[in-house]
Amino acid sequence: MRTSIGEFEELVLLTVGILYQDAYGLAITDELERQTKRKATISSVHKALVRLEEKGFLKSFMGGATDARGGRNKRLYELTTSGKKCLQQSKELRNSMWNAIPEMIWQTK
Amino acid sequence: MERNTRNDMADEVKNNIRPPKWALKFLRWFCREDLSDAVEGDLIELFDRRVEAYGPTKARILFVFNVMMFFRPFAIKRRSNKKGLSAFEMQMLNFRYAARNLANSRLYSLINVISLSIGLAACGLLVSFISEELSYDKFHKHGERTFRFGYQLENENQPTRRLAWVSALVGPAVAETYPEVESMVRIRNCQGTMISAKNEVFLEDGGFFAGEEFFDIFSFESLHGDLSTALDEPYEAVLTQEMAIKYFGDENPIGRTLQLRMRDTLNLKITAVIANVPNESHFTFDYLISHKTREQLYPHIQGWFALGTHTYFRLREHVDPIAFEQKVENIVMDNYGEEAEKIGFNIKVFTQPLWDIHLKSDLGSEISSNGNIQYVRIAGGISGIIFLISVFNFINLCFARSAKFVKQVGVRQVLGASRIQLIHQFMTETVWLVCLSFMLSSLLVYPLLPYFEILVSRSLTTQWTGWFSMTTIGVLVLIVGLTAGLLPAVRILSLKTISNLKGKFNMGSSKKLANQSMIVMQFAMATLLICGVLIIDGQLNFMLKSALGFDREQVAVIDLWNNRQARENTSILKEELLKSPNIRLVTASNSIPGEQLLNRVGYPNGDESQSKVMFSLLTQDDFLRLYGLEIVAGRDISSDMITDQTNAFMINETGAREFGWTNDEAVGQDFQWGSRGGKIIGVVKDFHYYSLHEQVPPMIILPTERGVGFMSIKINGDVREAVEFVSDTWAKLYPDQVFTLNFLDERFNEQYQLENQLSKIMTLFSAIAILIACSGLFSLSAFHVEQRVKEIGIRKLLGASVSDVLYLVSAFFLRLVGISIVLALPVTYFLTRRWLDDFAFRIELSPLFFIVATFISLSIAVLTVSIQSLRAARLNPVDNLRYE
Repeated sequence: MRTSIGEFEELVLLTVGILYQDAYGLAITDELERQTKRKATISSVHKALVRLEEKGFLKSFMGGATDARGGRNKRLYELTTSGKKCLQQSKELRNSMWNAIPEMIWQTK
Repeated sequence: MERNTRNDMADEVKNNIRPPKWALKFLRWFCREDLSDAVEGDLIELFDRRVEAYGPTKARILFVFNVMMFFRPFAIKRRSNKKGLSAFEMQMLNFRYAARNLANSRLYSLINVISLSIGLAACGLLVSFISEELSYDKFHKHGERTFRFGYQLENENQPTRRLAWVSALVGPAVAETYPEVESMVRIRNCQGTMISAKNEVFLEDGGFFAGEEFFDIFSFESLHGDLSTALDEPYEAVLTQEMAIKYFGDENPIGRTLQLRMRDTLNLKITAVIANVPNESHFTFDYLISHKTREQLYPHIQGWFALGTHTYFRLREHVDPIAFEQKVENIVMDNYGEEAEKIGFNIKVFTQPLWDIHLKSDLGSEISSNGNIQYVRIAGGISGIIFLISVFNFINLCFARSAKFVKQVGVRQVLGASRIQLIHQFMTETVWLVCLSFMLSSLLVYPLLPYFEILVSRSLTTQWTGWFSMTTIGVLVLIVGLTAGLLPAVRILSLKTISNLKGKFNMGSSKKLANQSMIVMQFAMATLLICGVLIIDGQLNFMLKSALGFDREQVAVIDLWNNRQARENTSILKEELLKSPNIRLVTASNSIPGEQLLNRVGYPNGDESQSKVMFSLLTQDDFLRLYGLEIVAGRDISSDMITDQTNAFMINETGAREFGWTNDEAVGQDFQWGSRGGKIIGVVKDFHYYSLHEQVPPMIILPTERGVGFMSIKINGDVREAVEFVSDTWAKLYPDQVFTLNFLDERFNEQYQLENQLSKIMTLFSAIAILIACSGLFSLSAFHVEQRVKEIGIRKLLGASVSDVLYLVSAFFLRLVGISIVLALPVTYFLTRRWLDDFAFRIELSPLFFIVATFISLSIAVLTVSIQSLRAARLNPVDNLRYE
């Protein structure tokens, strides 16, 4: 079964990869904003996370509670094998398509 | 940098700046459990950070905003997971339970559905009658501004009389003087024999002379020809479609001529054809002749007291009709004052809204008999009563039936059904039952409608497809269905699961009261109807059978209006008719009982100041004998005395009383009647010339040679032979004249048509109401017995006899019925009293009516209940007690 992911979902997936062991909702939102220089609402990030988990690209576990956050647990996300594969595939797809673009394009204005 | 903010955050928490609690609560309420903790944490973290950056207020606002952003499908709790049922599946399941439960209690359900649908069908029929009655004349375009003139005759010694017609002078006089009048039309009934192209002769009495503005005031639909100019010239006529087809078949009648024989023979040019007059019109006609024709024919007939013209007018917009009426009310007295005073009358013109004519106008001289708002109210009352009875019945039965399912509910409760689910289930059942009943009732209404139409003599339309009626029906279904479901559900659920499992169904006292009061209401209303039927029937019988003071049995009447030859010389026909052995007496007169009388002023002893309007009956020989009128003083008019023919008068007792004479004093008084002078030679005992709705008017009877419109024939022997003989004689003497013969009693009794209909409708619908109430009582007593089966068994074991048990069960219900009768009687008394007040002569409201009604409704109740109680009483106690 091939599951496709949208652009925003791909970005979230990448961010989870970047944050490695500290990938939870708010941190992902911050990182995403920093990387893309775009505003992202916390709810849309959560939505993407839920989706990606349903699709099997992410898995999550509850992290320990801290004093901050009013004592609430963090839900920490990490990439699954198929998640990694998905990122790889999309990178390869891009690369191969990049390479297929004739050189001429870049020389003309 | 992030780490720093997080450390600061901890301080903020200590500062106790917290996100709004309600938003958190809301989040926790809707958010998926596996997500809520993490989301909350993230949001609080974000909040703390924002407090730092923007201050607490903005942070809070943003927090709420963020929470709201989470209110999206991905984060919302799934109400039921995949293992549960969707709302639709639940509904289907409920539907299946409903079907199963209904099948389990087939008899109850059947009785329930059938009685509700009969009740609803009855309501439907009555409602269609009511809406028909209310829709009269509504099709005229500016009906709200259209009015009719009438005359009000005031006289200190007589009751005020209101007439629907006025002098032909009133209309033009008002229209010329007052600019408020936008348009005015005069119409006047005419009749004559019409001769078709094939030389066939028909009596056409449905004609009117109508002014040019007729189609401006009334909105009738044109089929051929231009209505705005159709009646502009003399000798122009407009036909209805039916009439056009009768005389011209499929041909276009425009421009053709028809010959109409009245006093003169008119050649009428057809200028237009209109669609048949709708049923919802207070007057109907077959043809119209331009009013100018009449003006040419009878230019000399003028005068403010020459009645017979109906005058309609339309006011301009924003004219106050009451102020306008006050302006015109004295127009007659201003123009005709002196003469009017001479006859001792003050004539006032009044105006009457077009839309009030059918239901609220009860005047003499209406064009055709009207409906009566009172009967519409009665019909409304009956339909309301039947609706309430059937709905109460339905709710009660649903409640009783639910006792059977107490155990079922208990089991469901144990298995974890929620309250809402159970209530839902009950409601599904009842709503479906109500839907079913509505469908059944509409199936009932359509085939019954034609019979009902005959009963009320109206043609009805059922406009139930309109959105208004559909919504009304829908709302009713829901209200009835939901109430009927809610009551038992709430009752059962308020009990403990464990007692439900045991199958006990003890009604709480408040619910018991509700149930009982519904029974009481039902029977109170049924008793009211029974009583109403008895009293209306009593009054009707009284009117039909009571002595009117004249003999109307076996009297046949032939119309002479259209036969000039016979009218001018009655003796030829009379002599021929008297040759039959079956005919005893023949007489002719200008009117017969029940018909309009001539109103003419008379005064005694040349003293004009004593003038009174006398209802004048012009008769020929034998009138008094034929009608069996009793002479209380003086003698009859005699054909042997030549002077009698020119100057003899007879008056009735009322007449004598009004002039202040005793019967004996009246005889021999000089009297002036119109231009004729003479002596009063006799006094006739009062008799009811009109129906018993009305008082006896002062009457004068005088001999006449001409001007007779009716020939009365007293039959003495074989009626059929006599009628054949009359018909043959007519055909022999006047072969080309239309022959119409009626029997006087039938003709007279047409005046009671409304009461007759009312009596039939009441009988029918109260029978329905009682049937429904009984079906309810029947099922309720069955339920009652079922609940007490063990008690009855034990009582029997302990030696109770069948009659003891019978009493035990019946007493409960009969007490309720007794209460209902006590409640019903005063209301009935009040209502029937009001109805009877309309009659000048009426029956006394004797207690017998109420006793009989009480007896009927009690015995019906006893019969119904005792079927069940007998069954219970005769059961073998062993069977009753075996279960445990």
